[in-house]
Amino acid sequence: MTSSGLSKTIMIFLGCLMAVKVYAMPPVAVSEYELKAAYLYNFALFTTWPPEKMAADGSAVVFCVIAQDAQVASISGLQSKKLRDRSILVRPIVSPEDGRGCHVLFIGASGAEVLPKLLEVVRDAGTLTVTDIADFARKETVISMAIENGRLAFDVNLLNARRARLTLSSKLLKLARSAN
Amino acid sequence: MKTNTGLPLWIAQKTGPNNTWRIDLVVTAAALLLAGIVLIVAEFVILRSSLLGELNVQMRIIGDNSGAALMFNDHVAADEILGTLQASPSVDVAILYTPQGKDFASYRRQGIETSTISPLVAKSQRVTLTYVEYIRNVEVEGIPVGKLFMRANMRQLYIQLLWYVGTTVLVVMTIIAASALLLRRMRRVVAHAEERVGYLAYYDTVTHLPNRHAFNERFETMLGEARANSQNLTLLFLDLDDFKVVNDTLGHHVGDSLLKTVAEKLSACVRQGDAVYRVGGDEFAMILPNVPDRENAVIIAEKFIRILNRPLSVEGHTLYVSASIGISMYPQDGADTTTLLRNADAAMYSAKERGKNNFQHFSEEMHEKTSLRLALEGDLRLALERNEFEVHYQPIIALASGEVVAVEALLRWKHPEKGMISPNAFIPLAETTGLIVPIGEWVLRQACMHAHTWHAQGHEVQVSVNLSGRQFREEPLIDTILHILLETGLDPSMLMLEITESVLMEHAESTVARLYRLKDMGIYLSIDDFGTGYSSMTYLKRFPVAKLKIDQSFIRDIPDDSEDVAITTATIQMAHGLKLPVVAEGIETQAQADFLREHGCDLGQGYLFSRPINFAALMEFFESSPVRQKLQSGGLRK
Repeated sequence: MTSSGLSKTIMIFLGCLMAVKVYAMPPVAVSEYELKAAYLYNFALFTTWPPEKMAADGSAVVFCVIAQDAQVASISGLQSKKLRDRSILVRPIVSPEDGRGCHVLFIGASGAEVLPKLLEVVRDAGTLTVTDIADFARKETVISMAIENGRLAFDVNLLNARRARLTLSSKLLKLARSAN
Repeated sequence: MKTNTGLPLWIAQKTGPNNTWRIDLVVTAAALLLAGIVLIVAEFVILRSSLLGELNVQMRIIGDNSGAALMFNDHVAADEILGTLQASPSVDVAILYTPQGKDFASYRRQGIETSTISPLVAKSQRVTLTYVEYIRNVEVEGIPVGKLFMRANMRQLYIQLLWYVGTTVLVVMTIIAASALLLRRMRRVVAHAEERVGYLAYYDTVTHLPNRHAFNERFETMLGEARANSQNLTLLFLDLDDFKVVNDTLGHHVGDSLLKTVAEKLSACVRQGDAVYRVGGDEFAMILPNVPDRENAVIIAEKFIRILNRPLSVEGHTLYVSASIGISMYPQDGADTTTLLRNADAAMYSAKERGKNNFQHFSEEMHEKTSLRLALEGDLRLALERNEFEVHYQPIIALASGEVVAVEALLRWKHPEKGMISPNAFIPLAETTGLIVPIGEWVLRQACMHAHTWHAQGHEVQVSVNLSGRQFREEPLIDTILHILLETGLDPSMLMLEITESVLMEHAESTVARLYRLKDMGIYLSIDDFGTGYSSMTYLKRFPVAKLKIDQSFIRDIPDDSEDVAITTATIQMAHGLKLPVVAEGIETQAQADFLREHGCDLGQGYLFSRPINFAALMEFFESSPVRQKLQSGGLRK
């Protein structure tokens, strides 16, 4: 555990360095938040929820967001899309209790404080947790995004995915920077 | 084809030079070529459609796999996925586009120029003779995430096609070669069969001599030549004497062998270029050109007769054959084929009449005889219809008692112009023409009818009817007899059938069974002309013989001629030894009758008692003479 922990730490450190480097790069055509929102949608596209979580009545897929307003706004833009013929409902949350009933939970930098408690609520509830917070939050969520070489990369934590009873497509895993 | 017998050329070579098999071959080759081309085109279409199908599947797989990479903007992964196309050599180029139409990832086979690529936008598919291009959307969960372009070359397809063409050509060549061989062989078989048919049409299979057909054609030709060149032409007709006896006694197999041997002997005897023809059962013909005169023709005929007079060894039998030859010559004996043939035939019959084993030139008198015979034959055919026949009866007397015990039925022909015709004149003619069969039947019916009449009146008098050899050979003879008996109602014991001993011997084996059917009915045989042929005593015991008749030639000179006396007395004694009654025919004097009675002869007939008389006269005769009556003891009858 220690060696893998160490290597992870190094990777996170490297990731941070790269992230810092990204900020230094000229802005891409699409804004970072837009790209992340698009990725969030794509993740959902390659995810299969447990049947009891995704009712067959065609009810909406709930995207819960705890992030800065600008990012919430970007993600809210997904409501115009459909996910497997279901409408998308974006719900900003504040308290950990709000995490119940979420299919997707995005935790931005502003959610770092409530994160531990929030995770306690959603961990076994079949929620696809995604974060773009660097370091420790990465260990606790299913997918974490990070900027690398000017490109948005992502890591998958399979342990967390299994605990949340989610099935992620192999196509997604193939594209992940790391999947373990 | 055999032409050594001097047959006309047209028989030998009827079919021209045979090139039909070559035409057949060209037609076959053309058909195969056409078939080959059709097959190749079909193969091309199949190969191309399978290439398109394969490409479609590949595009699907690549599209499915690269969807996520497009979504997450992962060029590396996309390049990796396109890189797997390395494994399929037909794909030259593959390009992934973003939904905006920008290059996202691409793959190029080594050696493919970038400049040659012209991504198509309007059409989703383009097929040329050398490559196929496809473009299709890449979708994830129904959402279009990009486009995939792919181009495949047809190199592989053409290599496959080339192999296919090569194989097809090879197969076609092989088939053509094989069919050429087969065709030639078939031609040969057909030619052989044609040859065989030609042979059968012109040759006799028993002797391998040219047949009557060949003879007719050849004779016509040679006669034409002789006429044109004012030359002689000699025609010889040769008929084996008594060939029928050989056939009947030794079997057809030996008969055929004999014909073959004779054919060989005759062929060996003629000059080079002259042919021997088999024109009938035992008839041969020879056409001899350039025989200067009758003397030379005679020399040739004598040669044939001499050669055939030597004993022949056939199938283990030593046979003595003789032949009768008729000769007619152009232009002396006739100017046309028909006349010459008829005259040679007439000369041959004349030779036969003169005791066989000789030859005769045709003569005018012969012609007359022939005409006479033909005329007589015509009349004979009509005689039955015209009711010109009459049955006469000669009484047969029991020498001891003087009673009439039987009569012999004798045929008479009252010709409307020529008056009474001797049986000696027309019976042989009736025999050869086969008319004897219906005539004999008529006689039998007539005799049975008459006999029934007098039998009904109480006269116990048997009627003897002569049967000829020809009648004897007729299959339904026995049935005919039984039928007539039934028809006339005559008591079968009142009928006696007379046959000559030679006829009996000739048909010995085959007729025993049939004769016993007659015996079962109570009908017996009388042997006519006993002593003139040769009889086996055992045969006499085997057949249902009830009477022997001593030929009148022996009776004529008794009791003066000691030889005839010896023969007659010996015959009587032998017959009595066999418990057979004896009839003497041709009794003309009382001395003869006395002698015969003294020596135990049972019955007699002749002018001394009565000449043959018609039915009405016979009935009168019965009135004036002692006649055996019914209810009297059997006496001489067995």
